[in-house]
Amino acid sequence: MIGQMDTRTDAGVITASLTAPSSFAEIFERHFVSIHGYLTRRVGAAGADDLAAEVFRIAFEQRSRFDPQCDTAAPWLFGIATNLVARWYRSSARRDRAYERLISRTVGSHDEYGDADSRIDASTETHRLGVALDALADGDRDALLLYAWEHLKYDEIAVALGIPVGTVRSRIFRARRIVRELLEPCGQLPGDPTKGGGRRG
Amino acid sequence: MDEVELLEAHSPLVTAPSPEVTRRAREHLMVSIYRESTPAATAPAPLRRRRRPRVALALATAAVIAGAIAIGVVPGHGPAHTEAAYALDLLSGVALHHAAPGAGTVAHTISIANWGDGETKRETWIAPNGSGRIKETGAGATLGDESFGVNGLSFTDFSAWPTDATSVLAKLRAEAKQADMRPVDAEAFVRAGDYLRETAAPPEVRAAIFAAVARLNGVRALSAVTDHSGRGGVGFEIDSDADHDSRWELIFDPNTSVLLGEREGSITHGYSAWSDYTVSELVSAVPSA
Repeated sequence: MIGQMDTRTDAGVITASLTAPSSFAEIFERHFVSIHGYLTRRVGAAGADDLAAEVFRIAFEQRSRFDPQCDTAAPWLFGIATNLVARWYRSSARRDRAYERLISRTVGSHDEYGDADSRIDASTETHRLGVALDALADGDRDALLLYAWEHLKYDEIAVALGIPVGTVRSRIFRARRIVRELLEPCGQLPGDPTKGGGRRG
Repeated sequence: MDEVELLEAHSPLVTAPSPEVTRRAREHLMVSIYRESTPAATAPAPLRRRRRPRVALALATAAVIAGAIAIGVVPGHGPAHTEAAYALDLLSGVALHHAAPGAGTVAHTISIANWGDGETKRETWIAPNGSGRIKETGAGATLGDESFGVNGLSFTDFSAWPTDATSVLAKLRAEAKQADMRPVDAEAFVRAGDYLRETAAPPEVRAAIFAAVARLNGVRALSAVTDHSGRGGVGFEIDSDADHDSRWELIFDPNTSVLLGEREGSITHGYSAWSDYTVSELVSAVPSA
């Protein structure tokens, strides 16, 4: 309807914000918690606060580029957040064994690992999983984690990363294969310096 | 368990962002919103240069408060989070970042009012030790001009006040109940106005008062409101009796959080009483009468 904007949808709010900028605050209220959570998983609690704030500033400034055909702004915001993650990890010091350290924080906090033996197993598994994530190419890892941790659908990941859906499918397929291989008990851990494995991407 | 399920099970634990983190991030956005809303206002003002970030932040929030009320978009996480609560929470942020104008510890306030006995002008100086001076004029004549020694005036010692919304809300309600006033939240609303008027409450306390008012039941936001003198502000009202005909209204400057006006009125009879606060500042001393 001409002149009517449905402010129940993100697209309606963002369209309204083109002429009434302050209405963009609603996008912040709707998505801040989930974007903050994503960034905490990707860079840790210490870095997430500032990055999450920056996501919404950038989104506000780039809001004319938002595709109003998309009802929800979530994939677009996850895309901006993912770009900031890449910038964050550009420092090699932060990159080093980043995911191995990040996901190791979950071990021991989950109730299902009640006894000592299973905690050790879980610990080894977590270690291998972290090493595997570190081994992935950046683009493959982004796609896989948006899928596994944020539960975005393939077409949403395509919007977030600005790539065709077919590419999302192949990236996730490749990432899953690499992770699966590295989780095998006999798999060579590329994080092990004596084996000469390397990080890709 | 396949590798995706395994990843899910090992997703790093995440806790929700704290209110402080959320508030800072919201303000980060608001500064951008404000800059775009009024590009000219970001031009440097040499004399105020040092204070600009604080001013910009306060104004940014003002733009958002006005916008939130004007377009009826109410950010929040549920129906209980009303338009008024959102605007009051933002005003709380303005209060926190905006110290009262002037320097000193004496609250100097000039107001004009009519509470049913003709228009009067009132000028008060109230020092933290309860000394001060009150001067009132009406119909061109001085009605009174009196100085008070230490503890001579009823004043509020804010040094022992809590600075969190929950405690201040409890305090306002407890005082309202003790005074046996009903409805309790209406009385708490009026008392909040008392503590924001003719006082030198520190920014943390003022911020907590706004946040407490945001949590009172029955507070409504008024869009495009002006005080009796015609100054625009952000207004809030509450039904001050059980029959919903009588209401109390407070109007604030969205840029500074300073109280501009208050009035009482009814739907059927219009406003019956009002005050406008034309000067609210801090000065260094009480002038002698």
